[in-house]
Amino acid sequence: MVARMRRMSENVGLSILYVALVLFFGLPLLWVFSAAFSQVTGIAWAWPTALSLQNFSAVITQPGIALSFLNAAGYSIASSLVAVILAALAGYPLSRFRFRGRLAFMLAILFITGLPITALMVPLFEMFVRLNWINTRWAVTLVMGALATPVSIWLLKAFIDTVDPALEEASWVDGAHRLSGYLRIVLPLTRPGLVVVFILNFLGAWSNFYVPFVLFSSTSKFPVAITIYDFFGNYGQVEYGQLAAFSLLYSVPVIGLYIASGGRLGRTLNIGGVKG
Amino acid sequence: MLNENYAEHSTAREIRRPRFRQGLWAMGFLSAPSAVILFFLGLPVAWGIYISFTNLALTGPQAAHPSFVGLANYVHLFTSGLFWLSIKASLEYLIGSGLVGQVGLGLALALIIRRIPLGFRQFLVGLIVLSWVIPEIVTAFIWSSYLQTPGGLFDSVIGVLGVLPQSWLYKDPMLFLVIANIWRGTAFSMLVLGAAIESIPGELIDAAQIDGANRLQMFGRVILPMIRNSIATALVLITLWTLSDFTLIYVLTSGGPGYATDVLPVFTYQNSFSFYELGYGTALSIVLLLIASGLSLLYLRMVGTDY
Repeated sequence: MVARMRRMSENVGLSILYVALVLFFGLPLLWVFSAAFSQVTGIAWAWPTALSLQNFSAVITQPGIALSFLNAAGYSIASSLVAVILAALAGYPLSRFRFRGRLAFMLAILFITGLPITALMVPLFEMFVRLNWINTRWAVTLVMGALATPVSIWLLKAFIDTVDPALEEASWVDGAHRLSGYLRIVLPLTRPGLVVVFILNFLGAWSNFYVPFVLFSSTSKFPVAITIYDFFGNYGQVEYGQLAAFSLLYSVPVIGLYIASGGRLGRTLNIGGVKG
Repeated sequence: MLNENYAEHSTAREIRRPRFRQGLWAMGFLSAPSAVILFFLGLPVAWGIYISFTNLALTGPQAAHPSFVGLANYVHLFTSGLFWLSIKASLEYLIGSGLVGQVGLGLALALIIRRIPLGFRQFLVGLIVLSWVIPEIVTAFIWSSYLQTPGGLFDSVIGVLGVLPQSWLYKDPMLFLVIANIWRGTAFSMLVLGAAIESIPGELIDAAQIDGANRLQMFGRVILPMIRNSIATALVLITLWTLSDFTLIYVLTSGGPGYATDVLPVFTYQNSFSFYELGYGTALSIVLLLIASGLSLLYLRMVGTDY
């Protein structure tokens, strides 16, 4: 009897805890979804009375916003490609060869992954001013690629480790060059890893605010992260519905990939500690 | 004798030669990645150390012709009350949102999550991870609007409890930044520590149960020792990320009101780009970099040298 009462009070306690957790994590998300699809405009939050897409159409038709999505896609794809290519190059010898300095290189790479971008941006800005690279698309793209490279090397090396070296060694016996063994055997077999690292880099670049915020100055070159920040500064205080719709549109690739990966995305992300 | 020596010598050479050739191959493959990393990450650091000894400004004569000022920026920094206020804000943010919040709540969630019925568990984990994967700037807008007064959803919700509407980010700025960052980052430690708990051998738990261990003993004597390394790694990584966080704070409070939330990255940004003192701002960056380097070395030691 006492045990039953204890279990019951424990269950009640747990239920209250679960409700509190759902409210804490769910309510802010409820706000952004309901505000985006609501017809009510203005600052006060209210339950949406009818679903409406007018906030979305208002945002999309704003001048410059579609362009910022194209910009962001361009920077994210290009910088992720840079990082994946560099990491595929570096990951191979780190996985296969035993050479002097290998361990030191690996440790240096891991060390760099811990360093914060925020601490690097002021000197990087200053360097860009000197080189006259401020507000140039290719240079900012390269920076984003370079920043993603150390983590990518770390991740891709682990993927190449899982490819059996016997396969490429067999190709050498058949007379193939070491380089062709790498290109024809190792890289195709590492494809899942290349895809995962590309996607993680894409998401990181897509969400990156600080790098383009410091290194770009003209509106036509802004990625979504900066356009949405400007929008927030100009209209965000009054047009919450549109800001919410804009936020959701901006988050679509992230949420989409999360759902498509069946929730595994979160697990993959923390292998390399990519977020942050 | 001579022959023997020769034989020894030639074996050594045969072993060394493939090593040497592998070294050449490795250099070939590593040259491009190393060059890019050195140029875009190494050079700014070296450049930054140099700039931090000058009075470089963003505009005006000191922009074109900065002069060498020795340690003046660093002296200014350590004797400036604002710098220490910034360190204080950074520590509050770190301890509150990173260590107590994200790691503490993440560990608690990792412990109870298996006991939650499956369907509901997936829903809750989905919410938590979604909060984590959305872009940080969106998180900032969500919390800004959520806490908005008047009209924000947060006011309506706690109004049920009889609490009057407030300008939360003005009244308790650090507390609400901490809450917003806990909301954003708890998923990471929940996932990492959850995976560590799952990997504990079942026999260990069973054996402890047979020995009559209660929940507290189970946690303190079985689970905690088994996941100690994962907790340490999560603590170091979250410390690194929390100390270098910029976007959430910049959008929500810009470091204010006053200097209440002026954490180191925001303080650095303001000095560099709002007050145009690049030399001083760079010195601040170098300080942040030094702190992060120490933490990163700690991280290296934990992950180990098994590579």
